[in-house]
Amino acid sequence: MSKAVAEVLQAMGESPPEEGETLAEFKRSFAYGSRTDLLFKFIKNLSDRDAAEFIRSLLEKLGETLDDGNLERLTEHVVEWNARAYAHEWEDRWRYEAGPFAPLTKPLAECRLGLLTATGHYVEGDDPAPLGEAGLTQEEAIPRILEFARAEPILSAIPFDTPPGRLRARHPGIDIRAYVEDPNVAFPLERLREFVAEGVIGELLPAAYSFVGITAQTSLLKKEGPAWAELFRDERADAMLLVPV
Amino acid sequence: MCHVSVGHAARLIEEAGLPTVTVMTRPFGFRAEGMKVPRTVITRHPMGRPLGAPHDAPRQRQVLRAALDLLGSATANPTVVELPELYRPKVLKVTSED
Repeated sequence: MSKAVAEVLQAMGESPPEEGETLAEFKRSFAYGSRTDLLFKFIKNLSDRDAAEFIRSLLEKLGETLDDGNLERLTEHVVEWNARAYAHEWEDRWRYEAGPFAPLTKPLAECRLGLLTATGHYVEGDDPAPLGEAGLTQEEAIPRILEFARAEPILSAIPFDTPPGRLRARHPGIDIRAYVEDPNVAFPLERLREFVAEGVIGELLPAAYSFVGITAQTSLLKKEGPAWAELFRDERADAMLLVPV
Repeated sequence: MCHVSVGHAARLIEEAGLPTVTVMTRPFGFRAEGMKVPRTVITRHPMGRPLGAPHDAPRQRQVLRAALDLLGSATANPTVVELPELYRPKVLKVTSED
């Protein structure tokens, strides 16, 4: 284990795994612990029995995939168990009996579309400096997730013609590897520009917008969210595409 | 929590009179109904990969097209569409040759 990792673990009050570790400790270690893996942190939400079954069946499917190379079997398994692990969150406080609905008032080909994502994207050289610190790396952000959850969201404006090589992303709650490799996985600047060129949509706002989705909900609901809605209206958007991760 | 944040943003933007459409992965799909997000497209992709695998431009376009179409076709909150396509990494890397 590197010195840096050991220091992060110490700062988080997490010790490296020891002999005699329980299954409950093993599960927890993937979610901001000694084995942090944001793609598999969901296993801490499974019961011990379900977690054991997830791992057993994952290995069984891995064995089958060794011979036929069918990766879909593995990704489906992960998606299904991830959904199962999060299903209980139905019980949480953010449920509503009804919600607003605004109809689209013109054909798509005449619409001015905006993009808002919770991916934590920004342009190189224009770091929104969350937690008051510019230059925070993904690795440095992850153990500070609770500070992100208490901080007000900061909106970054990213011109739609920004070259992919100048995009940066940081998000302490999610495995960002896929959209670091190709931003269009979650921040589809290039795909939306293609749709404009093809006449599928009329035009785009000058800039797309992004923030880190782990943020203070009360502040978002009372302050930033309404201000963002006003901003998009002032920019004469006809519709908004939203992408959480 | 990301999906709660965007669910709230969708509701606030829609309350301001602007139609929205949200694209999310299946593990978070329960939020669409639970938060009464106005319009949602759900993909059977792993977390952090809502539109498709890196460099899978055809899938990314297909998902976005479904979302854009839903902007015009939905008539009530919540409207949820789940796409059946499975995640497909673009390149199968094989490094050893015969």
